[in-house]
Amino acid sequence: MTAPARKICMLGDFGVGKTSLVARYMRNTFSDTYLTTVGVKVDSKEVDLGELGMLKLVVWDIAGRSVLDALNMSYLRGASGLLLVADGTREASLRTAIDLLLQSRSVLEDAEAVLIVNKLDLVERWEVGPSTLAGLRQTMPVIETSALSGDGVEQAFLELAKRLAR
Amino acid sequence: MSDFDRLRHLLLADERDKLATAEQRIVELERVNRELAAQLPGLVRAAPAEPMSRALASPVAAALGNAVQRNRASIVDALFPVIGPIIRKAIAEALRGMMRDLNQVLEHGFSRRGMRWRIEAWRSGVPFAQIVLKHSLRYQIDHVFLIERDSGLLLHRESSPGLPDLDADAIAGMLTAIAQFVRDSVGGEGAESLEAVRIGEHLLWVLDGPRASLACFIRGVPPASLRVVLSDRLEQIHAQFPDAGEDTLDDESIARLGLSANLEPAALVAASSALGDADAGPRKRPSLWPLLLIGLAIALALGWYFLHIARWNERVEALQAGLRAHPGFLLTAIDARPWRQLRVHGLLDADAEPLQPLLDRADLGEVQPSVEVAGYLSSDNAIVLKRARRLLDAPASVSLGVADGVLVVSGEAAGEWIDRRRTQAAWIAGVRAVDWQVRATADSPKIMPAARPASDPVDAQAAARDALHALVAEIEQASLHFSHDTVPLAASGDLLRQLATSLREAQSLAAVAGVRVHLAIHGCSDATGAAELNARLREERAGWLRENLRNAGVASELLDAATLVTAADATAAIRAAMLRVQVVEVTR
Repeated sequence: MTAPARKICMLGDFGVGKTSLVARYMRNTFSDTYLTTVGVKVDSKEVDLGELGMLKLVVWDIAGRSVLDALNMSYLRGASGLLLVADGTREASLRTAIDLLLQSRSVLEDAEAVLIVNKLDLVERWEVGPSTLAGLRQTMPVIETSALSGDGVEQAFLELAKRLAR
Repeated sequence: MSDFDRLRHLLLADERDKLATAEQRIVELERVNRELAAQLPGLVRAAPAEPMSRALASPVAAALGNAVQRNRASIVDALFPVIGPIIRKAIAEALRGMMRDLNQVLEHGFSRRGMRWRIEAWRSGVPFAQIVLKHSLRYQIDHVFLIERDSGLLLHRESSPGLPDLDADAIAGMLTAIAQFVRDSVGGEGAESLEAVRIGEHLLWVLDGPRASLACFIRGVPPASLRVVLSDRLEQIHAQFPDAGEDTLDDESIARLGLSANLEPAALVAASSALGDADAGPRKRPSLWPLLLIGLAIALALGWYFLHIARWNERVEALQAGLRAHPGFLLTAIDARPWRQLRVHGLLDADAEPLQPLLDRADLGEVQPSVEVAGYLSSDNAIVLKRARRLLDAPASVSLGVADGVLVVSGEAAGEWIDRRRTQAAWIAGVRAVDWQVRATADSPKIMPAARPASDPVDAQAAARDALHALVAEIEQASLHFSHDTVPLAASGDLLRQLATSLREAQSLAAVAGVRVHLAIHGCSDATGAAELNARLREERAGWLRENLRNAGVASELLDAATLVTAADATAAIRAAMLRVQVVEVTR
């Protein structure tokens, strides 16, 4: 029995930890140099969702930027889910993530989205306040993660996988 | 009704009726228009074909043009199953042209391997170029990926057995990303897509369809027919593709599309090979006519050659027979290269006729025969006769003839000529004996005994005695020398023949003179060596001379009666043998 595959894209500003999150969760097939050359790196992982069955996540880690150009838009094509990544220590990166979500809607109208606020290990230096996160949780799942310690990483991917499997 | 209404009714009654009629007409037209949409297909089908086609040609062409301009992607997707076969047909034609060109180029290659392939092509009926491609192209398909074109998700994958595992989903995604990156870098949306990537012996072919792409990972150099097969498979998949929205194919869809069988690498290779064979057309045995013509040409050439050689051999044999029959010429060898060269080797007597007229009559075409001859003395009767005529310088009254080595001299001659030539006649090379029948003419001062008239027997005897004594003196002057034992020196042959001739002549003269001759054969040796050995050598040398004289035609009774003198004190101290002749009076 072949597990169905779903394409998900990682979106976020520079340095928010997208590649670290993928490296923490996925097996690395390709070198990170693709991010600086082609602008994307693809990895995959099969996840067990219990009653929902198996699901294969094909993760496109798109190089960090604040604006999506035509090439990035072509990378988004066919994606079922988005992982928006922000850096908790930089509130501006949260705005960028939301902005990227809005830009992606032009090619991905119905894609499921999960917001990851990374660098939980530096929570004492966070600029993003709890009230802001509470407001965002009303529109989409928000998960706090630490790529350094691994806290919340698997939960974030599983949350998106479950939404895609339903 | 108010006054105003009444007034309006009166004034506008006609117009109101017309307006009502017009409104009713409009309603009717609208109803007809509504029904026309439903009736139009039937009306079009019912209309005559030719006028309808002409009427629709222009608006349909304009509509198609507008559709292509405004919605090109939809048109391309719709035409994809049609365009593929057309393009493949064009590619196949181009490949056939390329093969023809390749064929022409390779036809000039006559290497050992090329000849072997040529024979294989002839035996199998497959074009030579295809045999070359078959032997030179080696490839293997490692993986075949069916990839959803937009998302880059792997829809299906087939791999050759024994290869290491790989993250096919990630590879399919990266491949899609790179293809998009390349397309974006080259020319954006409208640009052609990535078709092939080669790194060393590894080759990646990507074939794009409207919804899915086929990526084929190959090692080696695949034939063009493989790409045709892959295109065909991709079209088949698109024709039965699930509805849009299904990103991945479940097991049921895979089985329905026959993906496992259609995309299995070995099946693709086999299909490519079969397509290559099919393109070659029906295999038919090559016509035997060219072979027969070549065989006929070879047979004719061989026939002409052998006839040519036979004619040459016939003429050379005729020349050979002529040379063998040519008096005074001894043919030893002929070196001949047919119709190129002929060289005659042999021995030629100085008195023989020249060979050139004989060679000129040989009719050897452009070949000018050359002659390489050495001199020799011929014993041929004709040549001996010619030689005798030259040496004896006989007057017209004397006739000469030679038969079996016997020189017959007859006629009349001056006594002086007779005296001078009679002895000389016996010395002529090739003359075994002389039959002297020459009479001296009347004014001859001296007459040889054989020619003396029988009426004067006393003078004849005296003359014969004189001649005999002179001949004996000549005989006794000759010594036959040996190099060692009983091996004579090289020049002893002529001397031996001269001695034999002289002895025969002496017997003849003795008979005329009324005497007989007695021979003493001396065997000699030098003083070196043992006395016993020297005594034996003397005996052997005396015996050798007697036997060789016998072989040279000297009468046996003369030789058997001869005394062998071998005593050391009675012979000279030289390695020789010699004769001493004693003239003995015959007592009556």
